[in-house]
Amino acid sequence: VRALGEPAIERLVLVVDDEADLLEIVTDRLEGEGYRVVAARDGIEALEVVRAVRPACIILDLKMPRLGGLDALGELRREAPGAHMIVLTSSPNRPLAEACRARGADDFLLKPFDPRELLRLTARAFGAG
Amino acid sequence: MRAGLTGLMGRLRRFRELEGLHEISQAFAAMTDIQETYGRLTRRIAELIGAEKCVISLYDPATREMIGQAPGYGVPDDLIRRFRYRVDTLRDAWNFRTGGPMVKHHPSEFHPAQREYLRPFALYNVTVVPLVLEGRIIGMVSMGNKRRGFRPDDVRLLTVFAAQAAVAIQNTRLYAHLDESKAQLEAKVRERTAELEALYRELADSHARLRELDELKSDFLGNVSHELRTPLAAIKGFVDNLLDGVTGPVAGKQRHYLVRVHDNAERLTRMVSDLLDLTRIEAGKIELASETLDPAAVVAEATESLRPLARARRIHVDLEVAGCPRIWGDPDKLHQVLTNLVSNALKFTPPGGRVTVAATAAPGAMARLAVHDTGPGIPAAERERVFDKFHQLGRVDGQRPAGSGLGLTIARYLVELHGGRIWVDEAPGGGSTFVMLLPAAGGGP
Repeated sequence: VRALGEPAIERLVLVVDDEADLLEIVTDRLEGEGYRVVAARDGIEALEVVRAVRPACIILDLKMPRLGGLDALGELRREAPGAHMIVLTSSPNRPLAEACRARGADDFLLKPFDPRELLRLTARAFGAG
Repeated sequence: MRAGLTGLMGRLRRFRELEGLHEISQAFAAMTDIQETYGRLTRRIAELIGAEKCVISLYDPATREMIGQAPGYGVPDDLIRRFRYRVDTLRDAWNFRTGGPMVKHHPSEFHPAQREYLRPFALYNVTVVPLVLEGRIIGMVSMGNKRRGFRPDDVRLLTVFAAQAAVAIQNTRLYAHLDESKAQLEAKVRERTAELEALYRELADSHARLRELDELKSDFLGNVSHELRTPLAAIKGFVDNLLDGVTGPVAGKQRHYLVRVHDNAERLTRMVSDLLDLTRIEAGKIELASETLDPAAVVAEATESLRPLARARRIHVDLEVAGCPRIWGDPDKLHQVLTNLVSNALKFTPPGGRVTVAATAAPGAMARLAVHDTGPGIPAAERERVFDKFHQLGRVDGQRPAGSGLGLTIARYLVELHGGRIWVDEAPGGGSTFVMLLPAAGGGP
């Protein structure tokens, strides 16, 4: 049961991407919409973040150094069973999208992305859409 | 009574002779080994006639010699092998050319020259019959030492035997020759097989290399697409943020510039997608999902997704769906084709115009999907070329074309992959009609 006085924690989003530009774009956009954003540069950082805080939404790139998104998905899902996970990738590939879903991803969005679509999918994590 | 018995004995003897000959001719037919042939022939005929010795000799035209062929019957092999004499020396004893049998009943009848040759054989009588084949003497059968002397019957039997033996020997020689040819042929076959195998290995190797290259190409394209999309996502993302006021208000010329950047980034993105699509299709790497679809739904969905664009351009979009059969196909790919056709129609239709999207039945168990616009139409000469790669038509609003120039090429490929056809017609009252025919589900082969 969540206390009504904690909207900041409620709206926590983890963005995982090795591209600083993408992190900045998504962070600015989400913060502009009132979300609190935590950034990670690869799967390993993402897991550390997920263990420390409990984001309701994880936006995840696939191609990253150390631990890529596809490999991190399963672990992230175990650590954060209730989180809404959105894969945001530059690889337009149907089998890849299916593999992501099989490993626990909820949505799949292709870069370059429509910001309205990203916001719509993010909102799903918090009961909208 | 006596005569009857003699006649009976004679018939019995005749029967045995025939039986022996029959046996010999059977044996001849089966013999392929030359040594075995000489051994068995001489034994059988000597036993049949009742003589102690029998040898077959062959004539060698090169040396004009008769040469003894081991094994014989009743004569040691080494003696036979040494037995060779020029036919010239025989001339006095036997007219070689007439080819008739020569019978000597007593050593006193032997010719002096002949006596010399025959001494090692310890003969007291002898019958020689030539082996004649197709009128040529190829050798002779010499038979010696019949205890009670050679009778005319024996000579006749030996003559019949000689005729068969000549054929048998020739056959054996042919077999030997055939064996040799066969061996040569087999060697040749082995050689050719080895060549073919080498060629096959080479082909398999180059095929593997080509496949590797193909995969590298595929990987490369996947990577290029990924690498292009990443900076495009950054460009478009920053511009989107600016335009949407994430960093504060933007107005006037700045906004106009940003819109242009945004539109060009989108165009580049489409181009990257289309290029990747086209390359996949041309490489045969595209896989169609196979679902039974209602074309009316596909048409409605594609049209619906473009309603905002239609509204922005103040173009009225009509949907005409009537009695269209279900089709087999890939919903995403057909959506892509229809979206392309409808967005083209919207682009080329002036504001206030009309775009009609229709799904109906066509003869021959086909579904007919058509997109009709009230634009300027396409000149007849250009109607086929619009499906060419990078072919661009001028837009009605005078702007540069915003597409990749690949949309219709991809559309045609995709329709053809579905077993259908696509073309463009002149629409009644001006404008263009893009028509596609797709085989109805269950109606096709």
